[in-house]
Amino acid sequence: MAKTGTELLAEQRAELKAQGKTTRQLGRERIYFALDWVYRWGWSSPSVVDMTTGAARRGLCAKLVKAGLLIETKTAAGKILEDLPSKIVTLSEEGLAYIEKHKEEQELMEYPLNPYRVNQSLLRHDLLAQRATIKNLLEGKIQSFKTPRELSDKSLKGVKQPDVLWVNEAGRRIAAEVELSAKFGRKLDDFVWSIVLSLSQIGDRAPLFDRCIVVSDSDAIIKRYRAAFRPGATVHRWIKNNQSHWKIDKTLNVPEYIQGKMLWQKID
Amino acid sequence: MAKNRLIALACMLSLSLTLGGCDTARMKLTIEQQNAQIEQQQDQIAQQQKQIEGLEQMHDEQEKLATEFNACESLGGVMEILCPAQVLERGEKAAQEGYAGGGIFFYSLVAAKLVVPLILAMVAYFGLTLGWLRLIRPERKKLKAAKDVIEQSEARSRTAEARAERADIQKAKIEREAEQARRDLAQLHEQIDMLRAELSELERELDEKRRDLDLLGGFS
Repeated sequence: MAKTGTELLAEQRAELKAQGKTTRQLGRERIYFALDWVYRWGWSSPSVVDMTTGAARRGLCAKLVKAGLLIETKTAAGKILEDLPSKIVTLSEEGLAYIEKHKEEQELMEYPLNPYRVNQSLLRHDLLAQRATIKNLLEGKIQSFKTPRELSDKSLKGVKQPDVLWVNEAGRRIAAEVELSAKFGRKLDDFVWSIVLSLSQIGDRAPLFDRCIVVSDSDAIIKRYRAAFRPGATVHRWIKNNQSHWKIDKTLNVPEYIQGKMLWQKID
Repeated sequence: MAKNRLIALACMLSLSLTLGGCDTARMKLTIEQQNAQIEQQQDQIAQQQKQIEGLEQMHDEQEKLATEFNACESLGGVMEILCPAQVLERGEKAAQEGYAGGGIFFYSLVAAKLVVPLILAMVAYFGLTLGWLRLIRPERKKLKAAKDVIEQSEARSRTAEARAERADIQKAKIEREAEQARRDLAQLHEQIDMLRAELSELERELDEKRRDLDLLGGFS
């Protein structure tokens, strides 16, 4: 039986009382979390920003736009393609200042305020990662996460920078890769080998992540990638020759321990 | 002695008859006279013979008495009970009359007089010993019963020892088996611990896998 608005409000008040917080404090936390979300990902969609509150009630994003903390920008393919947002939101100067005011220095990143610098061709790709992250976070399946913006500063040469890195309550790091377009040849080899390196302990360096989830809306992609990650499968390392042409430098094999560390998910 | 004289007279008569050669009548008479004379002499000889035998018998008797006397005297009065006074008196008299005594009869008597008390002493010793033994030793039935009891006890003891030995062997076998069983059990415990550790590891991996798979739900 669905709860009435009054009942839900009473529950929320009881929860706040138990946490020792006031409604105002909770509101500020929600605003900070939503703005921080946009800061960490670089951009987001209104629906995802609304999801960050964890409440069924929508309207936070609109409230933040109205307050001038977020800037709403129409997307090129908005409403034409079903699973693309019609608008994206980015931080305004005020929003950025609000966030930076509360961040430690080592947490600060360069933030492009111009919303048109957001790569429109990756909207669906990035939004899938954002949606999955907020859902897992709200359901308690992960404790924390790292966005590509946060990872890019610390990325090493040859290793994979995942679309998102999740950390669960056991401290295990799970990378998620959204693959909506197929890779072939050298790019597929680079993709496979960079993930293999990231899952491997190399010298004193611990593996960068413990599992890797590859998500795709294509059965064919998943099938080909599965085959490419099969232990013993050959992987080519490529280098540029003097004429700046790519050529195979060496041929390697996917190690045995990779088996079981790769997870595959087909989405609609 | 008399017999020899009679035989010599008969021989002389026969020789004179052979050498004389008288007429028959005279000779007949003479022969008859001579026969009568011979018979008379034979009777005398028989009488003398009897006298001789009597004297010899008396001599032997006196000699025996003297021997007995000497034998008793030689024992120094040790066995007076075997030497009656009547015999000693007569023996002493015979010895005084010149009968020497002695010889094998003397030694036989001495020996007999020594052996008799010896035998009596031995009989008395054995009698006393037997009586003492009867006194101090258990009766034969009791002894036999006791021997039976001892034999039975020994048999039971042997049986018990054999049982104890078998029990010891069985115990040693059981102990070996128990030791082996303990080792097997310890090994099983180790295996169980290993399997539990493996299971725990598998459960941990399964839990991790489940958590990882749960994350896929974020994309649905």
